[in-house]
Amino acid sequence: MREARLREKTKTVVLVCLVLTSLLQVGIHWSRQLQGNPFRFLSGLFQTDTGETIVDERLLKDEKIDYISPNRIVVSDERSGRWALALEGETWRTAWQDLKTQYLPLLVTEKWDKQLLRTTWEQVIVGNRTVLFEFNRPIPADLLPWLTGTNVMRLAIPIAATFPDIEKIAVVPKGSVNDNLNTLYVLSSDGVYRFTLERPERALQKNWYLMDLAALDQEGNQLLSLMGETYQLESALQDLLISNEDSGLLDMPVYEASLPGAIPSVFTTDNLQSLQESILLNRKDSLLTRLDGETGVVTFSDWENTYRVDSSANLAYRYLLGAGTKGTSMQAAFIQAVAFLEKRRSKLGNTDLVLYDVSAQGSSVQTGLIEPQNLRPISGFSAVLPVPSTVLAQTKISGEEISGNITTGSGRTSSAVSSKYALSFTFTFAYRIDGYTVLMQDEATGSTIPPISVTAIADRVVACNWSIRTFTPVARNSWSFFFPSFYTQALERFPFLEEQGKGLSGLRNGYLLPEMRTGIDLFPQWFLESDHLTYVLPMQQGGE
Amino acid sequence: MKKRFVFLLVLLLVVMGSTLTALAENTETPLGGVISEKIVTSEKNIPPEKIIPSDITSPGGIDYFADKFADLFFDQDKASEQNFLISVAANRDLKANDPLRFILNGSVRLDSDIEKEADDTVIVLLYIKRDGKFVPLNTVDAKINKDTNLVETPLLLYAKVKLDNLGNDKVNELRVIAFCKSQLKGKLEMDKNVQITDMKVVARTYTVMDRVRIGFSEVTSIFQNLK
Repeated sequence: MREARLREKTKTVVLVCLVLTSLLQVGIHWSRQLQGNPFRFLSGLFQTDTGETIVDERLLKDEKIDYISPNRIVVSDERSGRWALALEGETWRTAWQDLKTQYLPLLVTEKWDKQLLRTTWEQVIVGNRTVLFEFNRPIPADLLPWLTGTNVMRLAIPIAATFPDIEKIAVVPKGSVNDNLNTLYVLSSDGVYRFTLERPERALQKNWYLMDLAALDQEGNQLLSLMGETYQLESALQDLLISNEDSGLLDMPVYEASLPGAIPSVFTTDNLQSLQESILLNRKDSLLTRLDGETGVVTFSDWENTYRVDSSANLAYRYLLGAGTKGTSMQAAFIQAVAFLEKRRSKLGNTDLVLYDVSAQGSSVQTGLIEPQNLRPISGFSAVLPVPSTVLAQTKISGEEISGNITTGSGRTSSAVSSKYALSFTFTFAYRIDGYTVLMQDEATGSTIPPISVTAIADRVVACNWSIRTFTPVARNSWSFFFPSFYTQALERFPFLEEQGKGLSGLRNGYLLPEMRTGIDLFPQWFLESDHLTYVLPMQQGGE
Repeated sequence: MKKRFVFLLVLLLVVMGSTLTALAENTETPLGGVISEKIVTSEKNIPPEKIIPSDITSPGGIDYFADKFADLFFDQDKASEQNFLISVAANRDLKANDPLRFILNGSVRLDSDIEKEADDTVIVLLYIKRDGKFVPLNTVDAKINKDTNLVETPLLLYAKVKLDNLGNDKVNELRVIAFCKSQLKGKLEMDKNVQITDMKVVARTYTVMDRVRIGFSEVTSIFQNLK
């Protein structure tokens, strides 16, 4: 009896010791690891936010239209004088404010009164007083309702039926003698559309658009000329605007591109908290953290999501379950994309972003594999998972079958298609600093690409590549803006520019960010567009 | 007396020697002290027509080649039907306050059939008609070939000029002659290797408000300079 009691006591003591030891071990492990509760279904019981799917529009920009911005605004007289307004200057802001708040909504709700061929665009801008708004890339018309806050349900004619996209808008104040009517021409991928619009009550008077050109010149706005009126290079687009002033200089800062404060330059297990808070937001405790000591890459993941950040602050996010087969509208996907960025932007440098390009992802019915464009796969897995071909073959979305990849809004050719629905959409964004566009040089291919791309569907973002940087001006210099000087250097570097079909189709100034380097100075660059590709050439300092 | 005679003779010899020294030309003095006289022929002693410039851009080159091909260049009844070598356009220089200031632009055509040598350039000669004759139209503010009517370019044409006539009723008649530099070695033929383009350019007067603005800016700049 006594022995049995002793045995029982011993067992009890051992059990208690084991329990205490196991609790101690769990506590040691818990305190050493970086993840929180690994059981997501439990956190789901206590959370109302299911991650990236719910969009709080209060996070978005006050004026949604600010996700697009003109690359240049040019005022011209009836002869050959053309002045590019100083970026982000007072006149520039006034002109853009009037167009985006007063006339862009009307382009959504009103129908054009005349449709012309694309080839007539030069006649519109030559021989007329115009204020011309140029955009980096065509803006898909499908985004305009949301950007302008227009309720499409009350439209008699769906917006996509009027024109597919906007490359340029020309306001022609003398297009109508009636002071209450203003004439706008929209250059689209499939033609030119003329709108004669009733001037809104709060819009600027038409006289404002008949600007004092002498004052524009004296204020230092850049004097430009049309290629077709000057050098008439056969290989180049004749409505290209260039500088024909041999003493012309452009005043542009030099910026330092560096990491935002939330991102340490070297990742250790002790300094990842701010990174987690900035990128993972309220899910920072529910994802497993893994730090690769050799490569310096940190990965946050669970069974649905992976966030990977390298030592150059390049973020790659993937939703591992893929885009699915449901299909989405461009507008719904765009809202998810900007929400994803806006939730993090203020914590990651707060640099302005502007929409650069849009493409739609369809599917190859034969292979059943979704291959999103503009996505650079990060090592370890593909961009999205394959979807069985049997599912795709039976998929019909709004009466349309998806076949092949559809690209919309890129380049100037008429092959751009306004895709109402697709399996997913990829939106690329550029940084915008003081009105200048910042693009990136892809380390792997050497090509020039936007630094941010987001692939989204109606419910969520499925992929994102984001080179996170913040920019600080460090110097201000004058740079040669004279076209012959630039073109001579461009031909040495890119001799194919003289070939027909490969000549200049676009020319602007901005900055180029190296993908894998931080803490360096960015100098002004020429961005040349040729045959749907962007090339880069450094600007020469004035006086060289 | 003898002494006086000798003195006068010596004085005369000294004066003659000084005069010879003063009026003698420069001679090379080789080592050893032997002076060999060398007759130096100045350029003005050779008739001008015997000097052949090596290049159209060297001094006297433009006049020489213009004279050589005068029948081709200045025949007022002949001009190219097509701009097969270069395109040319004239636009007012909006940065200059002078309404007669224009910029001539253009580019060498890629599809030209003319055989060019490697690194060949196109020579463009500018002329304006005055009193019924074509005379050189010199460029303004040129950095190369300054104060001449010649522009040399591999591809793009840029030249500032000042025209003669102002007003809608007084047309400026320009003649632009273009050929590849390498073609000067041989024969120049119209529309084969020489393009002759005639242009009529009207320099319009400013509007009254333009004159007011220009006057105001000039007065303002004077006050700024005084400060």
